[in-house]
Amino acid sequence: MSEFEVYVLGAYPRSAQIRKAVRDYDEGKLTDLEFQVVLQREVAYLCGIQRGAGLTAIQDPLLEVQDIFRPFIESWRNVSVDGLLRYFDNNFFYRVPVFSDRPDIQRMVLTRRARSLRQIVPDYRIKMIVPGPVTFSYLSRTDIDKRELAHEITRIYTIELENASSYRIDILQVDEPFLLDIDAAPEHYDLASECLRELKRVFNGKLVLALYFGLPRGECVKKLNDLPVEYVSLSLVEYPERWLSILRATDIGDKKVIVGVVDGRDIRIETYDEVKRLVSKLCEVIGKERIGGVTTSTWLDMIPLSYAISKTIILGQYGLRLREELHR
Amino acid sequence: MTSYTLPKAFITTVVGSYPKFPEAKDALERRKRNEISEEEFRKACRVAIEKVVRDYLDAGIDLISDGEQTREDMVVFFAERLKGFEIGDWVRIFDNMYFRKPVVKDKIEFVSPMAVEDWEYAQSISQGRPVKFIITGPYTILDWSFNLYYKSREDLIMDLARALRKEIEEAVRRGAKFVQIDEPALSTRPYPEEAQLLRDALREMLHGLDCKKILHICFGRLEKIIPHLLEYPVDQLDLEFKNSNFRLLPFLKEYGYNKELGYGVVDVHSLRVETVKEIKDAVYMLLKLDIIGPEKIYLDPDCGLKRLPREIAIEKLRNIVRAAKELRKEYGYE
Ligand SMILES: [Zn+2]
Repeated sequence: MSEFEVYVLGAYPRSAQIRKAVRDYDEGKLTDLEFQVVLQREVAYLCGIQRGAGLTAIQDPLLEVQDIFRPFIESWRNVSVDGLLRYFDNNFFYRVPVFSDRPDIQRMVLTRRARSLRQIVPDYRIKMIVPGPVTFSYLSRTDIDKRELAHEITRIYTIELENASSYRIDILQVDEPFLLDIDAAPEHYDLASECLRELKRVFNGKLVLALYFGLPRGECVKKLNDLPVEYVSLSLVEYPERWLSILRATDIGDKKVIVGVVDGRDIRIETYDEVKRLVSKLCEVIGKERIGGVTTSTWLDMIPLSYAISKTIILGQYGLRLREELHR
Repeated sequence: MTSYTLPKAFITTVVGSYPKFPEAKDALERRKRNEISEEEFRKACRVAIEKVVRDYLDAGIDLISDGEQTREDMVVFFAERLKGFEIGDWVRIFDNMYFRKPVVKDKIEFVSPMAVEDWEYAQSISQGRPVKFIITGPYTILDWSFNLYYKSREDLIMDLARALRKEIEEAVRRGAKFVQIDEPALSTRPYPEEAQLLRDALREMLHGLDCKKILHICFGRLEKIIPHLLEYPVDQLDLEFKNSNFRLLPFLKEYGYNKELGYGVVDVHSLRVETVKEIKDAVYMLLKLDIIGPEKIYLDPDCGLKRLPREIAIEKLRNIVRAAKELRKEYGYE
């Protein structure tokens, strides 16, 4: 039987020390090395929290990341950043990527990241995230055709993945929140499918498509089935009934669902019963054998750090109980 | 107070915030460090409000604001002054910029006037020009806070609406003729159920009040909810158009827009100053749709000016005023 996953969906918020270190580094008061020392100490701490909580895979806390696109933009040629734009329905803003031409790799992002995470957790499963090529392309500004750009971004990811293979990335999570946006259309799902197929060709680990922030609408719903992944992560936190009715009415093939049950954007701490109720409802709809695990509804970087840690710990506790109860 | 007669058409106005003057920045810092009392803080900010009003008058804006100089953040300002909120822990807005996100920990209640005093001061020095009374709306306060007290968002928004109503009542009692509610968060979730949530709150907040009621929303895909916005109990919608290249216009036509319109004709995210011709062309475009006449059109920037350098903000306002004057002549209002 495959692993029942219990892991956090994404990045952690910065502590006061990290915020200060970032500020100092930007102002030239810290050297690269000094900054890395502060950063790695905090990364190790947050990896320890995840391990201690009994999570099945460690998520890189992504503390130095300003927004989901930035590390890649800063490591590629022909792309820069411009003004701030609202990131989906959040009171959080990303800098819009501007592609002047097809992107090209200057430095490896996943390799660097996997290497440094492996130093902290050499013998534990690790999860890496890439911004979905469709989301990346459609949230960028460029004269290049968006479809072509999505394929270009995918091409770079495939190079990254081949390069990082020695660091054993166990789970690759492809985040495509754009697919649940009100402007998403069936052709965006087709494009996502093409890109995911390309990634699957080079990545041998567990490939998970993460969908969050919204809901699939209209014609897009039917496209869920076509997505060529075995694992899809979606959240039952925001619109539980609507997601359940979508899943009731729509065939999503034999995909396993890693379900967001702990709210990554709210500080209220869920009870076990609430979480269990959500999972039970999903069981009724898709069957317990297709529940691939539990996670947070979103990344944890939009709540204060203390809550992000509490949520990690309850996720671990609840996840272990759910696994036992589901497989009894 | 000298009197001022608003033009019959193409009234020029602002959305609300203005670049912070150093006096206000300094006062905010000192208040944060608990070095000054609320009263001293307000007094220190008056210098900044005077400068804002002077800039507006110099530019020739008809319907002005106090520039929101005392508000470091549009939600935190109210959360700090309403009962029921605690100022929470650090949450990121962008890059390495974090703010202390308010937390609802108890029943929300009005304590004492929050923004009224700044408005009143601006009104006292505006040489008769009306000053809009502007507050952040209940949907945005709800959406940009954490909630650890209320069982439902409906309950929370209605209590916010009741508390904010007291604030508006006080402003109207002291003579405010134009009341504007800012709801930037609504455009992030342009779904019917969200629009309805705000509709009920607006009814609670605004029913029976004797003033012009304006709702400002910006940057988002509002076309999805225009029919709902038209049901709102407000006289005017003030919307961003320039930044999104007037994408909303055909939808106004489609849904039979009939309220007054605060027409955003300059982009607050761009340092380029729009020309008079550009602004006039935008107005022609609106008039060509034949949905509302010049009396119902207010010309203003897309949103608050706070992120622009002051010199550029002034130039943008000047060109709005110039365009309005020419338009009034062309359409026989002057
Ligand atoms: Zn605005």
